[in-house]
Amino acid sequence: MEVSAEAAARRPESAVSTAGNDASENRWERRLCVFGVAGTLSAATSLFWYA
Amino acid sequence: MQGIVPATIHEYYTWTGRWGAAGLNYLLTSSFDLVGFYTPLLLIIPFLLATSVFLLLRAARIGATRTRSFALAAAAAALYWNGMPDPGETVYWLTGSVDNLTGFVLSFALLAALLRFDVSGTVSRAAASAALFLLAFLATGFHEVFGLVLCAALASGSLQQWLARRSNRWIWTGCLAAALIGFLVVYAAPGNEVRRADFPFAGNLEVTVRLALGQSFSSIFMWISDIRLLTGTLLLLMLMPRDLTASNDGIGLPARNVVITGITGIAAVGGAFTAVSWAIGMSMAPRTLNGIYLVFLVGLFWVIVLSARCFPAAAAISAARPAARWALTVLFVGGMMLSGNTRKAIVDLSVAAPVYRAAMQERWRSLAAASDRGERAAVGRSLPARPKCFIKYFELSEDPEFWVNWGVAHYFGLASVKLSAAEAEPNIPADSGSPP
Repeated sequence: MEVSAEAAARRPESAVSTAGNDASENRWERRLCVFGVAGTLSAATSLFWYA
Repeated sequence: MQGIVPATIHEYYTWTGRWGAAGLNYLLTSSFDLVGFYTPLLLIIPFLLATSVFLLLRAARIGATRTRSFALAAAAAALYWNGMPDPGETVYWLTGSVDNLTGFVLSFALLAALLRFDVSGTVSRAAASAALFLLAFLATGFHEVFGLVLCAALASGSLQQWLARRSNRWIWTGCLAAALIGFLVVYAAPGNEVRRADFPFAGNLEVTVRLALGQSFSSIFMWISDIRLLTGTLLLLMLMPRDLTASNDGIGLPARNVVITGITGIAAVGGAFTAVSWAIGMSMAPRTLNGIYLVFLVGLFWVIVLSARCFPAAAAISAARPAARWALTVLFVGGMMLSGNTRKAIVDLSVAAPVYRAAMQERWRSLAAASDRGERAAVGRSLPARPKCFIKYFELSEDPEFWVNWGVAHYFGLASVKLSAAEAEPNIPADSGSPP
């Protein structure tokens, strides 16, 4: 369904921004988070070898 | 006492009502060479826990795609491990893992199945219901406190099902009944009374109130103010808002569901602190605190998800400035990589853990060699390092009558084992030229 310019302007800012974020805006933040999670899990997993 | 079932029954009458945990412990420790397979055995239950979290996320339609649900499950596992009070007692000790995590694995699997229960046909529906009742009963057989938490979760789910007049309300209620029966089986075990003799302040109301209030307030304050959890939660709402509201059937949930879930979470965490304080009358073991921390995390996450579904516009805070998102991301990643248990693990991995492993292997070889030579008594050398991430007790003492010494001696077929005094140099029977 097409959204008119007026309707788009009335849309809450959060909704507009969410759509943009999901596309590409937050790509590097997400990658960095994945790095943090993977690093943490690597440390946790490495310790099993010595237990 | 020989055999897994007889030993489990014996333990039920003499030590603990956790029949599921006792049975699984006996099964694993009698079926595998613990020295050769300890690492893979240790990995099984944490892996199953992460898998059950993934299944629960998929069942609740949290995560727009499988990959995103997987990423969320991985992030949840990392956050839990990093923030848990003492990973040594729950993650890197097989018995601790079986007792304190397996019940959660089964509970999450049960909740996932209940959320997606949709079987047509009378026979298959009856069979599936019976399987779920059995799973609810089994899940409570691993830990009385976490079994009680499962009962609270099922009561909350049943109430929400009944209020919404959902078709699955009877299945939820049946699982609640099965879990309550399972909890009573564990709680009423004669072995619990035997073990209670070790806790002179058990059942003391004044001690219970003091301990429950003190431990719950200090722990919850610490958990809530954890920078990793705070930044992680904000990033979840900023970077993945649509993954929380991916489910069409979730949107438009009545606000009462958020209230019921929130009250259930608070009651479950508060009830767990109170129940443990009542049962032992002293500060709880870190492994129990690890379990309550998991309940806290799950409860908080569930309230956030339901809130996002009830009030999607309010929950989407992705309009924050890019600078704020970057600052939160750096704080989250820095917190995960450089603080909490990750920091301890980095220190352990660089020095203590390799030294500890080598020393334990050397001790094992020495004791086995002493046994092979037909010696009756052996002396173990003190460990040069103890990793902070591993369990703190279960070490030989200088007293050969100490129960750990007794257990080690019997494992190797020796009459006695003791630890050498710090200044007295080894009197270790060695197999490869080490000094006697």
